[in-house]
Amino acid sequence: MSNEENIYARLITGDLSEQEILQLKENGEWKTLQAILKTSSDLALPPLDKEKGISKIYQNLENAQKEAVVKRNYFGRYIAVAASLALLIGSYFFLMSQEISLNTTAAISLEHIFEDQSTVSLNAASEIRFKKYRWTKDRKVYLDGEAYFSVEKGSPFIVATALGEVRVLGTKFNIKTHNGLFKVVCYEGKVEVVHKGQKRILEKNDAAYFDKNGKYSKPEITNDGADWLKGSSRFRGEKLSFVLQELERQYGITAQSNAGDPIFSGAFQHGNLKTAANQIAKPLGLKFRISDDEKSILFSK
Amino acid sequence: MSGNVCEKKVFEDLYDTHAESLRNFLYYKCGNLQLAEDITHDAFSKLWLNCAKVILEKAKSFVFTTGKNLFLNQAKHRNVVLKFNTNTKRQDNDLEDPQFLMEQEEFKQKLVQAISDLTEAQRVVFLMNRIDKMTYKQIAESLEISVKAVEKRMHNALKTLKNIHSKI
Repeated sequence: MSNEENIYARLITGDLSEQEILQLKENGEWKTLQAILKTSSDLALPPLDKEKGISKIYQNLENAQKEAVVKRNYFGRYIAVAASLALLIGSYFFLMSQEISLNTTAAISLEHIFEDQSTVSLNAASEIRFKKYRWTKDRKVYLDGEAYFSVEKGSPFIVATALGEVRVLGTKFNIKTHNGLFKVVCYEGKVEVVHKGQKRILEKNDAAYFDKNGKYSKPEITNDGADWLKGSSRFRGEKLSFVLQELERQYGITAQSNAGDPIFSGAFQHGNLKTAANQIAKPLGLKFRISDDEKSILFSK
Repeated sequence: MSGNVCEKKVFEDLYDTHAESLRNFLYYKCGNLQLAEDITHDAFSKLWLNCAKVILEKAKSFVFTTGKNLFLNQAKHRNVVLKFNTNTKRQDNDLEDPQFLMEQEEFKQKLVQAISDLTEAQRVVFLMNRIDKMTYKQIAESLEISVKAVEKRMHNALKTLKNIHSKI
């Protein structure tokens, strides 16, 4: 056994057999080892000044933000000027390309206000990225998931997703991209939607819906805002599996059905899983069971 | 602790809990307290900058790994000379034999020298256990190695240190 090998390691944890202790005492090592352990456990370093430390961290971060790039001068003195010029230009492009990324995990949504007072509300399990600087000149946001935008007038506001792009001039609209579905609803103003080469202009209360194969349809709008902002998710003739995916995102659980994939129209609330599950199960005549740890839910006949 | 690393309160709690053991860990590697503190603060700055990407449970190993990597960027430290304070409050100092105290001080100096001469891997594990009172499991988690590896290093450290008398 390797036990024999680690005899000194086990001395510290007090896991020696009597025989092993005896052995160490007999070969004269016991006293020295005890002295080493005692003396070494009395060694100490000066305590870390935590208050000073934390303020230093914030200071560092502030400086880093101001200077953005501080590099040691690796170059000879005679090219220092050229180097610093290159650094200046480099750091300009570096700064300009810096991105901010906001993301939400399951069951959490968040709101962000841009420099120009445009706002975005990010639904659960979604992400947006945008450039850190020159926002007012270059209003471009990359979206993965679902978000509601309220855009102030100004330069073109572009939301790029993996599935298509939306450009606007000042409006309110909701974009949803989950599992290959691309759904845009315009609540105010006008937006232009580009999807796989197709261009469509949406006016107030217009919506466009592209399925996995790029097929276009026009869903009805039932109210004047994105439902999820008001704490519910609404569906109109969607497959149950699609509804359950949204349930998973909103509650951070896994949801399954062994009752097939019937079509569902209706809504479920955010905030109470049992109520939400009831709202889905009742209209479909299904039953459901929530696991004891509330991490999964199963719908059945 | 629970919550999001991006919350100032959570971040500062993490600092309070782990900064000193990280600083000590780095000191055991290089024997330079100032450098160890600077790297510690850089590592926590990085944690703050990446707070959205690091879940609470991974924050500790994040700062240790970052500290380790930042340290690698520094020059190699060949001759490490460690210095320590002594922790004990010896109330019964006066009663002790001065000869004995002198021997004790001498022993301590010899021991610190011997610890400095250990390999870096052994020294770090040994001191994290002795000074920071970390269990093998905690050390293994911080260094992202197995408990077996910690035991092995510990064993070898003591195997070397026990020859302290025969050395001189």
